[in-house]
Amino acid sequence: MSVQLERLVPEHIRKFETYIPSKPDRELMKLFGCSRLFRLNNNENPLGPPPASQEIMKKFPPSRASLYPSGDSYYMRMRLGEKFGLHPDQFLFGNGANEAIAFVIKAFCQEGDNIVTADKTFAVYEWVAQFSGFEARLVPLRGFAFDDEAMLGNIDRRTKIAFVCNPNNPTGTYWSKERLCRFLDAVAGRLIVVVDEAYFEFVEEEDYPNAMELLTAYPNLVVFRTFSKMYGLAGLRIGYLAGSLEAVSIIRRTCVVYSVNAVAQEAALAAMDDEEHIPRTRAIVRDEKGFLVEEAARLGIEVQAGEGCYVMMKLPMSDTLAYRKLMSRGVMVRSMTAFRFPNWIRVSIGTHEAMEAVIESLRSILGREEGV
Amino acid sequence: MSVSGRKVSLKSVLDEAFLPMVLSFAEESVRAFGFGPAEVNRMRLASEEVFLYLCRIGTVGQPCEIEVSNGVYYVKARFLFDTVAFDPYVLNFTARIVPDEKGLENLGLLIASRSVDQFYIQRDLKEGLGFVLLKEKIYENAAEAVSADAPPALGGFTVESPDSAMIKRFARSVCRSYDETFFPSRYRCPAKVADMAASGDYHAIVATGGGGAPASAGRAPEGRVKRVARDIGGGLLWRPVGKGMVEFFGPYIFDTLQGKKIAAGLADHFLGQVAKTNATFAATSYATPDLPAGYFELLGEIEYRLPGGGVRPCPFFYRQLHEDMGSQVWSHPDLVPFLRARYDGLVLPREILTSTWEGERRDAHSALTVRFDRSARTARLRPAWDGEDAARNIADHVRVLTDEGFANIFFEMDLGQPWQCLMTPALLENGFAPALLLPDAGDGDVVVLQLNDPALGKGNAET
Repeated sequence: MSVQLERLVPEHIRKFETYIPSKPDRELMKLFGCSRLFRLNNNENPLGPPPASQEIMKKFPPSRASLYPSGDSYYMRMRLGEKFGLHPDQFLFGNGANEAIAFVIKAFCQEGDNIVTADKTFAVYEWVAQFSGFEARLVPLRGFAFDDEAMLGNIDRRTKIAFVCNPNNPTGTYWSKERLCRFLDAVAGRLIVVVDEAYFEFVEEEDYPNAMELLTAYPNLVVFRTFSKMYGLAGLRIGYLAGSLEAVSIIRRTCVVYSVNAVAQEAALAAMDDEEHIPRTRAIVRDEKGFLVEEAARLGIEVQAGEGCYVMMKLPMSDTLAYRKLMSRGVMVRSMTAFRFPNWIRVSIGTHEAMEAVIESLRSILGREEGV
Repeated sequence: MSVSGRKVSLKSVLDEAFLPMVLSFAEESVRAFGFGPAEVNRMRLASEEVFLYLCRIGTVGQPCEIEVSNGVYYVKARFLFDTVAFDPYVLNFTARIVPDEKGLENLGLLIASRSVDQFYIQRDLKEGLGFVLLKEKIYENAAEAVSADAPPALGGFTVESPDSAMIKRFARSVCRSYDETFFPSRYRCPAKVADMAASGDYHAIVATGGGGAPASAGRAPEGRVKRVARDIGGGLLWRPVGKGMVEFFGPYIFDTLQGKKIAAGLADHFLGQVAKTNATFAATSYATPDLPAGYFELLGEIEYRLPGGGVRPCPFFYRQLHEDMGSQVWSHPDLVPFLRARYDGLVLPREILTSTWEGERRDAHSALTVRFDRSARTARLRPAWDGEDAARNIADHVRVLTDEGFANIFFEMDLGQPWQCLMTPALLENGFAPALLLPDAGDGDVVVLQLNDPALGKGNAET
């Protein structure tokens, strides 16, 4: 039987680019002929999860794997309610914050609607909107930062959501509390404003806003947080959104329940009680980012280093070529052409050994000594 | 007959009795799409040869669909048919040739190929087999005959997608500033370039500045767009090819004072436009000296033989748009040294799996498809089926194509298809040698083998 499946595919899916994740380390090392691999492409925490979370994973009874987890991450929501002084129903969990992006878009967008975000930011806002059949209006960054005025200029009656990545991945720039509030005031409740705070815990600047504190004042505000970055639980996939009771109640209608596994829920709960983990991570990120920026400057490499656990570097060669050359030396970074930053790479902050490997490899592939 | 946008189709059967109907359909379709008598006549002639050929090699009554589409700057006819009743041999362009045949006049497919600009056999899993005829629109105004803008000095510039009028100005400036080495001869007509963009097959960006605000910068009170002439400091063209490639042309720079800045701006904008498409790499064989340093990798050079003798070296540049995750490729052992050298040079992670014919059952007949580009005297062969007669079949193709005046004959082998590498010995035996590696250009990487010119020795191809 001949079945022409392509005829069944909607037009917006036909045009869509497939995202292909990287292969497992063992396969990559074999193909690139390297004996080590520093994964510095996904902004993971070099310290891993907090010790208490690690204990949860070690002691998780295998027999419990046959039971469904809490379908709506009950204890996590209770704990977050206490922590932020909000109602537990103001939180909604997903299999990573990526899933929460899909919840929000599905909840508020219908045919003909659009979303507004930046052209050079976390790609999943644009990605989910487009494969769902909605227009993604991409506003160019201004000076590596989200351009609030231009975003407002792109909003029309069919704009349902504005996504603001704060701090921005990959540039590390952020809106101050004053700027964010000014934007929310200008939006005046006409649409949902999502503030993605995936890297919230890494930022130490005083004027950096905690959007959780703005939820009462702005019922159209939705905040994303994740346990994948600071809390080192990327492999367990757990993230959440927070918003007003009314907004979350609407979003919950599109939420996939039972999508967060039991180990993830318990490990995340334990992670929140670890008071040492954040300062320890901040210290290593601060130190190693400083080292990386300084050494890159010695090599004459332009660097964009803001907040977050990553920096961008502009290379005098194609970033996809640099990716291959670095991979052959056991260093995996993110090439940035797909972020619309041709010839830039993004390097996640890792251990000192990994950062030294980055610099040594860059020196080698660029054929440079210090000060060139 | 069905009509869908710029495409019309006719379902017929293979029977010479339906020839008048098929020809009438082809002729009237081309005419209805707005093409002139020259294009109509040539498509009619080519369609006649193809349909008669199909009637001869097929079974009477077998379904055949004829589809004519309007590409704005070209018209295309496809003759789609079922493969079940065909011996792959008859799909060869040379199928009717016998070794002692002197003249080629009776070869229907050859006549068809002479009448149009492109002719090839498609083999598509979804649509089946088909003969494809493509005739480009004939434009009266050659670019050389019209004046171009004076070289500009922009000052500040922005990169934008041009409208039709600006594309024509851009094309004139290209023709004035660059020779055919950097801009294909068939594109040297401004109206044609505008139509190429209008068709959606090609995309263009230009760097503009001076002359006041951008045309789109504001609106008059009554809502009309303000029209302000702006200088064009440079531009770049591209088109998607196949499932993963973007071919680009340029960048063309007219404002030489800030050429490097404009070139980098165009490259950044172009890459930003294609980065999130299905394309996996961008490549060009028409790079200009203004190609910004550090953006593209040199894949190699191919030497094109020129009509007056001599050769034109043609460098190929490319750039991946995504991170290369590594893959396996299939190769005959004879190609491994070439591949290993190229993969090492390009730092491409590839595991080479070798395959040879070891006496297992093999189809009697091989089949090759051919793409003709008569203006460039170039023919590109691709394998459609492997068979025991591969060496003879390749030799037949070389003989016919050489007699037809094709000086540049290439064979494109997809390393993602293990059966294709079985043809390697037959190719080497017939004077082909590997010349270029195109990463990810097919199901896997593609090796381009070039026929050596006996008069010129080995050329630049290497083993």
